Order: sequence, then C-alpha cells, then structure tokens
Amino acid sequence: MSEVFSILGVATSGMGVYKTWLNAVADNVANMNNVVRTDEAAFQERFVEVEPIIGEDSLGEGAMVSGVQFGDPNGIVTYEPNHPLADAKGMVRRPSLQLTDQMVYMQLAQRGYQANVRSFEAAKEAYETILSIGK
Amino acid sequence: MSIMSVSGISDGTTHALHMAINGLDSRQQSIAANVANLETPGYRARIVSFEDSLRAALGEGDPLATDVSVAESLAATRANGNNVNIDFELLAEKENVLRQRLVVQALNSKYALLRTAITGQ
Repeated sequence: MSEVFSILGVATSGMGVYKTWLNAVADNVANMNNVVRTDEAAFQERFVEVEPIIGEDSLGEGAMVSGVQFGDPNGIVTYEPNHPLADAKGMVRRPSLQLTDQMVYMQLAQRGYQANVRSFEAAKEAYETILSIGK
Repeated sequence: MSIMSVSGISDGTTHALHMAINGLDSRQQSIAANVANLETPGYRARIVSFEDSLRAALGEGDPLATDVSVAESLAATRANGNNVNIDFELLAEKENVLRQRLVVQALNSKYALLRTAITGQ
C-alpha cells in the first residue's frame, strides 16, 4: 500500500491477466483445425501462466502473467489420403487441442475479467467516498 | 504510523476513524487482489483484519497503535490449489465500500461539529 489509488491498479492487473488468457484461447480456437505434413510440428496449444504479486506487507497487489507454456507438438496423426498435405501413407498431423476445453477456459476467463471490472468499480466507489472527507 | 496532531482538532475519535479507514482501504486492496487471482493456481485468499486490534488499541486509549494484519484463508482449496471464493469476495467488497462510507460519514459529522465551534454558527 504505497501508491495513491493503488487498488485500481490491482483490479486492472486482474483484467490484464484474464484478457491475456482470452487472447490465448482465441488463438487456440483460431488454429484448432490447422493441418500440417507429418514431418512438421502441429500447432501447439497456448497455456498462460499466472502468478500473484505480493507486496512487502504481504498484502496482495494483483496478478501477472509470468509466462506461456505450449501443448503437445506431436498433435494427432490422422488418415486423410485425399488431403494435399498427406504423406505417402495418407497421414496428416492435426493439433491435439480440444474445443470443449477451450470453451470452458473462455468462460472462466470471461467471468474472471467481469469480476475484476466489478472490483475496479467498487474500488472507485471507495475512493470517491474517501475523497468526500470534509465535505 | 505518525499523524500530525493539532490538539483540539485531532482527538481519539478522529484517530480511531482514521485507523478504520486505513484498515478498510487495506481490506479493499486485499479483496481486489483475491479477485485478480481468482484462477491463479495455488493462490490462497488473503484476509485483512484490524477491528480487534483497533478495539484493543481504543481500550488502551491509543487508537494509533492499531495493527493491520494479513492472513491466508484456510478454506478448502479447489483442484488447482486455489481457495478464492468469488461470492464471498464480491459480497465483502460491497460491504467494505459501505463500511468505508459509514466511517467517512462519522468523520464528516465530527468535522461539522468542529466547524460549528470554529465559525460559531
């Protein structure tokens, strides 16, 4: 607790995390049907790593994206002999990510973002109250 | 925490209210941080308490000795090791804003009395 109006920053950090997650999910879904040759790596699912920011007085100061992890590059090899990218055995490689997982992540990220917006508004209300001291 | 004190203007009441606003502000920040870490794996919700300390400090006649402490919630964790309860946090957030308003109102009433004393009207 050092900066003035620091709680707004805490809520904003949360919004940033969930927005990054939503971005990753959107990217995953956009690439879920990418087909490649079997000698190439499949599209790898993006996972967002997040960690809490803890202040000196052990009071939380928000959350931040600390990195990105990638899914299985092997994907799934399927038999599609008519596909232009199929190898001699008629195989192609597809990403192994599941749309059902992505939809769940999307819901979680969206609700998380909304909760942080609520939290931002509550902090704003609290600060407005404090600014009315002496009025 | 040191607060500039003008005798006759600041007294035990304003100091106590000041410490209450301070504690409530820390709690608001802690709630915001819990909401920001709603899905952070392994994160434990943090709970701010100061009321008991304020009560004790008031009992000893020195409200400025109030201590704001932060503890990790012992609630059961979900599969990802996180135990933030969003219902609880959003409720606590609203309640905290109202408490803050109550304290500010009390502080303003106190200042209104002082203003009356100063201006004589």
